[in-house]
Amino acid sequence: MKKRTALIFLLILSLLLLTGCWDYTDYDDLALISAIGIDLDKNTNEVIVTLQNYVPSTVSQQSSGKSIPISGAVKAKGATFTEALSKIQQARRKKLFYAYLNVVVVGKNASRKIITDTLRYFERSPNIRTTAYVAIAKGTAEDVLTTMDPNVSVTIGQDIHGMIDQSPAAGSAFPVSIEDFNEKLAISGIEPVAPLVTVKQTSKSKTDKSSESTEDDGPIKFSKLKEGYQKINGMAAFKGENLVGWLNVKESTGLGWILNKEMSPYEEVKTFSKNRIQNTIAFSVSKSKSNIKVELVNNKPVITVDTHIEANLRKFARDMKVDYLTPDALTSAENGLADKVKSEIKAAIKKGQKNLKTDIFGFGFAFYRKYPSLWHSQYEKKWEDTFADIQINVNVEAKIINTGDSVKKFVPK
Amino acid sequence: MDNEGKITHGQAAFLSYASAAGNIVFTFTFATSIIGRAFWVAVLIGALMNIPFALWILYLGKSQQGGTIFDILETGLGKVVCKIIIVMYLLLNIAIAVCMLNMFSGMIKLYFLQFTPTFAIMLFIVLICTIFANSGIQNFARLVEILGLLFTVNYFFGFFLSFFKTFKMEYVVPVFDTSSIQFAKGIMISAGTCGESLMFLMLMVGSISHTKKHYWSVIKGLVSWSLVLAFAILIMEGDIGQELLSAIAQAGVPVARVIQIGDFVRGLEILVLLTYQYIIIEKTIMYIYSSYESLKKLFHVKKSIWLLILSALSIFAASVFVNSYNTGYFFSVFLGSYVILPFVTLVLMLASFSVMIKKKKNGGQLK
Repeated sequence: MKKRTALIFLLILSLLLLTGCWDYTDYDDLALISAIGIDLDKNTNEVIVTLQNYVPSTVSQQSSGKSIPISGAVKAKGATFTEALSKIQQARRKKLFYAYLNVVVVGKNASRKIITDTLRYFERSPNIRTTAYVAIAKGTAEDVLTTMDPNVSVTIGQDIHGMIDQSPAAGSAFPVSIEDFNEKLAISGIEPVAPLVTVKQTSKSKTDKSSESTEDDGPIKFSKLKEGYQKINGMAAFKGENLVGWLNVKESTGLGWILNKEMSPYEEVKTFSKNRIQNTIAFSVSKSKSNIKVELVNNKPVITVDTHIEANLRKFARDMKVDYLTPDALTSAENGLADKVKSEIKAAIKKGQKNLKTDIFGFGFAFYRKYPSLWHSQYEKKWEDTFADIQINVNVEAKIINTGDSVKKFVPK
Repeated sequence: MDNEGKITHGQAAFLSYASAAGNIVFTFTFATSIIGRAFWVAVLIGALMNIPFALWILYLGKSQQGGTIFDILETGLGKVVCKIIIVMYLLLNIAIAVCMLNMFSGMIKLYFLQFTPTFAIMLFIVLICTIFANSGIQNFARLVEILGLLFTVNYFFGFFLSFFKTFKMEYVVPVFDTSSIQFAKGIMISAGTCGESLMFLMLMVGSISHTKKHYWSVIKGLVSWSLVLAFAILIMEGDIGQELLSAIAQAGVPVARVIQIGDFVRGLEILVLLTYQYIIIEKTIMYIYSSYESLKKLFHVKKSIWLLILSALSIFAASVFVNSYNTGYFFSVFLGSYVILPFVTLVLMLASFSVMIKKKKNGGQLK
């Protein structure tokens, strides 16, 4: 009898404990955030947060008559990032939910001052995945997140996330997650980078001034979307916690080669004649691998970057004086490709070492791995100065894996 | 030989394996900040350092087959010394259990059940584990065998997937970028924290039929755990780097969150959480069982459901009173660094002394 009573008691207790009611939230009560924008007001030093969320049930009718889902954007200003978030929540019926976050866009001003504190917030918050990408806006993050391509049927956050995913194929950038960014901020001898996102608006702002709240604790603005498009066209380079400059597409490709970022852009090599359309050899890079070697020569660090590229030939130049793509002809094309890649790597190094003076390549980290005690005793503290003057050698070896469907140059009649 | 209530070789191995998987699964990150990249090696050595102590316990157990270390103490040194040691053991055991329960509940609350009160999570775990502890060591040893296997498979299935994309060898090499003092300190911390297994072994030895034959089983269990833990830390270090690893709370779960394969597999924390769930169930059973056995010895009773309830309640009440992940974490670091191993050494020295007295009384013969 006692055992039966105890069992019934346990079952009743389990019913109370196992229902999970405490944590129940209806899916419809969640505002799924797709992108977060962070800006800094230079005058007031306040943080401006723009949230762009999924609104799957709402569609807008475009002039073409085509229905596309719109994603609302709302922004708020606060003394801190969390204060701004709280203000947005005040004006939202649904609970802000970040598990579906695709991208965090940080404006130029915020990147120069508050990026670390903000990203550390993401790292500590369990409901934000640090696999979301980081992108730096050349202007404001708000502009990026309130501009939408009318032909795209996904949210702006998803769109930018997709563009960043595809950026290695264009050679313009490579993905950097919040986690990657934090790792680079924490490890000495390597500085963080993030994709650069620019925006082009094709229509003027349709923001209705009347939609701005006039609450005492600061304005909350519901931004109407502007037509336009975003583009990933370069990388933003940091020194420590601060943004120091931009890398253009060529420099970003070079950085990608050095950092083994699975870049797979089309590469073009011009031959002898001036006619670029006819006399260009085009390659599609399929594989790349770089090794950073560190040596001490006369007690000074010397870095050697050895890069191996594998590519497919996609177009052969008309003015090459060969009929068949023989091994000799391919060697010549391979040398051309190697020179092209070398120039990209050198451009990146020049920008990082001489102009921006920031070790985004991780040469310091490579030095530490080779000479850990020397790094701690002599170089760690003054690497910033040492890096600007070290000798960096670049060797590139290119190999054409195939020439597509043809082994012979096409000769029109 | 009567084998009733005795455990098999396999069960001895699994109990040794699972009993070492205690607070160290959460607090290893603290020692990472002291040693740096070489921590996984320090853990390996530290966990292996428990083997001589384990053999010492088994050797002492041989002198009084079927008796626990407390029985050995009582025979040679008398009831008073034995009771003092039991009270100390009891308090330490409850303290370790409270740390682990708080850390686990904190983790569950942070990632999965954010609005569920902590006491409810703790109550559920303590309730289940009390039922298992009541069934006796032979029965819960069977459960430990299954859970031990499951948590190991889960742990590595989750972390192995990181080798596709997340793992970076450069975060691991060079391994020995640390000073010898820091390295030794790390070894001591991990040896101390893994020393929880020795506390359980002090009681488990009473359930071993032939202590001499079980030497190898216990060694197998402890060696397996040291390899599993060291390898898991190595993978975690390769995933996020020791700089971030040394700062994280919630141990393997945040690391598993960054593992990504393509767009659809983002974060494998559920696998690692299950691992921690299995570990907490195993360990809480052991903590309750250890408290129960010590209370039985303290009050000289053979079986009492009230003492079992008292053991469970004391762990539960103290855990609810503490109710903090951070307190559990830092108190556990303190216990692992300064308390567990010195206490085990003291008890084993007293037990050895007790055996010597007993030998002397019997004219050099153990009976």
